[in-house]
Amino acid sequence: MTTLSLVLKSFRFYARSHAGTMLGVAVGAMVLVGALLVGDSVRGSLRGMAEARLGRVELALHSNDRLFRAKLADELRPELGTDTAALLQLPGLARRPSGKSRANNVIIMGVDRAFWELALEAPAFDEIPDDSVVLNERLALQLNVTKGSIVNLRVHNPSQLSRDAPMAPVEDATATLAQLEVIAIVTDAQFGRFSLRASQVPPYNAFVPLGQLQEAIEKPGMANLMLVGQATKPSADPLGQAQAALGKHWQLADAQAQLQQLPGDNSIELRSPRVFLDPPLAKAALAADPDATEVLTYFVNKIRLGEKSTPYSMATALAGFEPGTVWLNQWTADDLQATVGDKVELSYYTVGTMRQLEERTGAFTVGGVIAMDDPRSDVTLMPDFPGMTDSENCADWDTGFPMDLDAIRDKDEDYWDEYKGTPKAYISLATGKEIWSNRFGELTAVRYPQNGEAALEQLGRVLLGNLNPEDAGLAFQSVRAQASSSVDNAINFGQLFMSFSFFLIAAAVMLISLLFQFTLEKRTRETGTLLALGIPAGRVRRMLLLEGGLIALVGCLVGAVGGSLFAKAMLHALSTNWAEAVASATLTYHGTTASWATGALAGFCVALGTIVWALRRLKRQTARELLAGESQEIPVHGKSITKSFCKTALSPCPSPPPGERESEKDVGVHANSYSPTGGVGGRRPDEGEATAGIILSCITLGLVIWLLVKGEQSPGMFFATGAMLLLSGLALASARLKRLANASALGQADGLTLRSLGRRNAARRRRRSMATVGMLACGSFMIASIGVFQKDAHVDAAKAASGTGGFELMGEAGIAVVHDLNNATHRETYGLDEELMEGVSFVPFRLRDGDTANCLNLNLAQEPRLLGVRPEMLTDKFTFTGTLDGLEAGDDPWLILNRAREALNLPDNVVPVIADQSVMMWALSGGDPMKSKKLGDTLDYTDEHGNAFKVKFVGQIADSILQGNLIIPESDFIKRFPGESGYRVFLVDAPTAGITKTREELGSALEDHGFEWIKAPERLGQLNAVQNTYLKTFQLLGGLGLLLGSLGLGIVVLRNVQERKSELALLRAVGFEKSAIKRFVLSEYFGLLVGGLLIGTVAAALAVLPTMLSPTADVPYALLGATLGGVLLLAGVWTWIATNLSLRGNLLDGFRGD
Amino acid sequence: MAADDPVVLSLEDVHKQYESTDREPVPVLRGISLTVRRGESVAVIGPSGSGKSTLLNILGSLDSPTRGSIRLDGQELADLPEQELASVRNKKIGFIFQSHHLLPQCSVLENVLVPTLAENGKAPAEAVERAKQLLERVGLGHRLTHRPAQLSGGECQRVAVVRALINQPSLILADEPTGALDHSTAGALADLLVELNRDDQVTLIVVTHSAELAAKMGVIRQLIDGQFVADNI
Repeated sequence: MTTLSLVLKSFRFYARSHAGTMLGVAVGAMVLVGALLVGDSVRGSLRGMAEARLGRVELALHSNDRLFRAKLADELRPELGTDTAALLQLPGLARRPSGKSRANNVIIMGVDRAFWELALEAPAFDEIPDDSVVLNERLALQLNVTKGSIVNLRVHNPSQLSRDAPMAPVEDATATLAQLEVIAIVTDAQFGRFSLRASQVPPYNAFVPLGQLQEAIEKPGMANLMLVGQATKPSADPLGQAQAALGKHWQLADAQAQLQQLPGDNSIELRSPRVFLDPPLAKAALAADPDATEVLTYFVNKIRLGEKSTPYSMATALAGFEPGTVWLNQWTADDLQATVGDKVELSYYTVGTMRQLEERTGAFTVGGVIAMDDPRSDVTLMPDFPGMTDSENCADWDTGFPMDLDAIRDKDEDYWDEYKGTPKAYISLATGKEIWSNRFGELTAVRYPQNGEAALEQLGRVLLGNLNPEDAGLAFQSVRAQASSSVDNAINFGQLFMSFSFFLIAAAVMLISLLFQFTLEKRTRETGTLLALGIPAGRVRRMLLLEGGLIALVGCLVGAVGGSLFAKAMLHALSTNWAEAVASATLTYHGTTASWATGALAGFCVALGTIVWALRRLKRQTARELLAGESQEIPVHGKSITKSFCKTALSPCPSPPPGERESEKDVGVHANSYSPTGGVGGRRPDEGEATAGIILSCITLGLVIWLLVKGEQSPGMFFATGAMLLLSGLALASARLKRLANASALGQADGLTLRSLGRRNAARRRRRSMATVGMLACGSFMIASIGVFQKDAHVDAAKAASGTGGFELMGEAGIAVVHDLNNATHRETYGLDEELMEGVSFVPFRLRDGDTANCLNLNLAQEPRLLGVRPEMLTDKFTFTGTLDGLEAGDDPWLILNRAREALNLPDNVVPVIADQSVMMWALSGGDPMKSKKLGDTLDYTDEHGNAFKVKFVGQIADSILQGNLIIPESDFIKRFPGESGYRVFLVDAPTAGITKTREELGSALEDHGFEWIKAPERLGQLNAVQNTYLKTFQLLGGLGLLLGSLGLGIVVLRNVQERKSELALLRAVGFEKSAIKRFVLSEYFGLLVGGLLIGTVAAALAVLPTMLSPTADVPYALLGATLGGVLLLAGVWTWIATNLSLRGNLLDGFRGD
Repeated sequence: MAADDPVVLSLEDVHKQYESTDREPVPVLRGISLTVRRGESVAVIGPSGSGKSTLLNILGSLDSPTRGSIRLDGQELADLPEQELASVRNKKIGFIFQSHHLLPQCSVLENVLVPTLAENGKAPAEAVERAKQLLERVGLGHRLTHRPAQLSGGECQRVAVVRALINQPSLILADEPTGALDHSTAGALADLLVELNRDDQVTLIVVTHSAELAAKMGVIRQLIDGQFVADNI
């Protein structure tokens, strides 16, 4: 025989007693394992989605509107030794010809066979035939189409010349692909989910033949997205390798540059389809040859000399002209009858923000006249303005700004016919740069005094050598690594569900503690015997701990199995009732051994810790006490058993009831219960708690009156008062129990009734009773009051300080709007009804696409979406919760965006940013508070030219409809992303009354831009829904915990009644009916149950008062009622069962002792 | 037993009182002195509340005196730490309680061997042999593998006696050993204790209400209000 065998025997022998403890351990372990498996499942599902959306793609190069040769992908393939594919990926919209259904924000992709080869699973077709389209499942569902249906697509036409630039045409902003037959609907694994953005919601994807899309947008052979597959031989630096290969194979066309031999001139010219040479390109071009000359040709509205004027002409700035002078060509000099020394004015447009045109005029002195056959009268000086170069007539020009066609004379048309865009005026290069340069560049061409094919090739090589692909916006991204990081750092649902299940775990811990404690109490004499026989106390404790460890182990194993069921139940709920918490993502069950082991181990540790805690009381008891069968409840009056004994010895208390062995402790309790003199002479033990309870109650009452009088509706304040009421309620309950247990109270025999005796009995095991009351009160308070944190987007929605900013609508376009919708003239061009637009104003935002950084995206946003705004347009909108130290918020905190650079002395590569509080706290940290962004922190970005920059958090606003985006000044936006033309996000202020009509009008007039309009409170509601669903989840799981906790009450009843069997036998012996005894026992515990729930519910009602009083409040009364009613009912049932179990059989047997 | 037999236990002026913060200390034992020699059997009798159980607890090192000296085999127990007291209890004292306090999960043989686990957590082979012999001697040789629930009250108490003897202690302390037994079983157990005392020279101190059991002891000491009132009633 060994100690271990003794432990094993005890474990087996008491297996039935341990079953309850094991159940508690199993529940705890089940919840912990289940929560971790939920986390695994969410992560696994996200990983699966990431796998599906990227297929075998490792790297991607996305150049947006900067197109490169599609052949570049073929050229890189052998170099990289892996599959590559070139795509045209453009935003657009899709609709059925019938107009019955449409989808905005569609990603339209021109693809070829190479693209499908990168998918996880090859689709049934090789190539998409012309006039056909392939849709993904989500888009097909949205359009309600099947194979064979016909779909029309409208697609954004990428303009090499930014739509924000002067002379940018507006007519070709979109292109149409009509009457396309749906030949297939591809699954997620067949690249249906293809996207470079991490999101659990699949995009609307439409795939068309690459050639056909290139043709539709008139960019043959061009692409804007290149994919590189995973290499068969893993490389240490696939990104560096791909970028190096790109540098080796790229050509000038990929940098949006053209070198051409000029006809009739011994020079070569570099120009760009973007019209203005990007600054890096211009710099490289000038560095290629010291004799290079710069050309800047601009469109002027008018050349005026006194009353005479020549409309709509080209003017060129070249080196060699005196600043302040203008040279006219002969035709213009004749037209204006100008001679040298005359004063001439040149009028031209400049483009401000929101494409506001500003006409400016410059005064010049005629310095000379250039003959029409002079080499400087050169038609090639005019760049290829997209809407002009190929026009037959001046009247057909699409310059992107309003033209007075009446001003165009026949002679102007004749000039166009004969000389096309030959400049009519020439000014100095310095002056030209000063007045015409813009964010797109300051040159339209660079000319080299060279000629011949060899020179052309040599120049090309030198130019490419001076440039990096990144300068031209050609940079690969490790999309697979980013996806992996997004998933790895995604919101940890394991932790989330663990916190949701807090109450369930707490209830399990309480069960373990109670039951194991009871087991120990049941075996006190056995423990005492071991000690009396000389087994060292430490060894006895270790034996009991080992036995407890076995209980914990078995419970954990059972719980680990149950954990997967729990996880599956949670996933089912997340797919149905709680779908809003995961933005309707499809989640599938994934479980890892690590999570099983971690959850089971955590469960084991929690259980063992609880058991150790229960055992620690044993340390305080001697063998003598244990042999006497004394339990460990500390008597009300005394601090030690000895003191209780003294009271016993001194009090003229009658002998304890028969059947109870004389023990100091028990006698002490009896002294408390029956002695008429007990407790006299000292300060009543309940006085402290009673006083504290009364003081707390008074403070609470005062606070409530003050809050109500003041009209205060702060949920936080009410929650705090509710919590105070809870504490005061518990203090008073504890004091009441102490008072009941107090001998002086019990000595008043004249007030003795059976009911009062029952109430007093509840005080016998005050700690057990208070544990029950406390658990029920705290549980019901938490469950009921958590509703106060439910967010209602409609409350104060009209207020500018609310989460809607007081805006009525929010809209996001697939295809940018370049004009100012606040301008009536521009509104007219869109055909917006001015009557309906009365009182409507817009705040436009530029958008740099990125990952959505809000709670609707379960992935961690790697490069969150950037919004560029003029801060002054948001004055008084939303509520700031903080600004960075050193920045004076002043009356308009939004203006810190303008002031931050100077005030904080920010370097050029740092951009100030304002973000939503929840974005900084949660979305950018994956829910990990340790990683949350604080004011002053930075985030890395890459600009359009591949330059790294940082955004620095300078301000924080309360939860708003802007959640998911980072907001930077528009000036910084256009500097970093000059190619992102126009505005795609709009906040609309409009009269609430006609908002539905306004929305319809906007939807209809701006249809081609693929707008999604949503009412601002509705948008805020979508964002709030996540948090609200979390709270509901907490309430439900907390309710389950409370139900489990109610089982604890039943156990307390069972144990207490068992302990008092001899007393009840005495009652039976003196003539009480069994049913009366049952009622007597039930009355004791029903008081505890109702008391606990009442304290919690009343305190919770106070905490949620503002929410309940709110007219739009959506308090889940039914759920709350069901939860609390369920607890009341179930705990009542447990109590009833426990009482019946305890009182069955012949009560008089109780006289025989335990 | 002879006057020159070695003294196993001696108590000198042992006092025990329980302290209280709000009342006077309560004296339970008031100057108890007692000498017990090897092979002696002593009965301590007295009314309820006279301090019998307290005295037995102090003798068995389950409690400590407030004042006075208690020596077992010449070793002063009053100053020993709990760990050493446990060792003393295990090796030098055998307890027999009113209730047998057998472990319900263990067999008769295992119950007897429980005290032998104190040393290193394993019952030595010789202890097993001795347990079997002792059980055979008390007429329970055929019950080795039975559990306490399968035994009668008298049998359980006999197992408890054997358990008290397993480590060959200097002193056996019995607290109302026949209190829970019927008359004939009580008589048989009393005879067993007397037999062990006589044949094995086991020193025996019995606290009892039973005059019949007390009469079988060599010495009877009466305790009233915490003091011995007479020798050899």
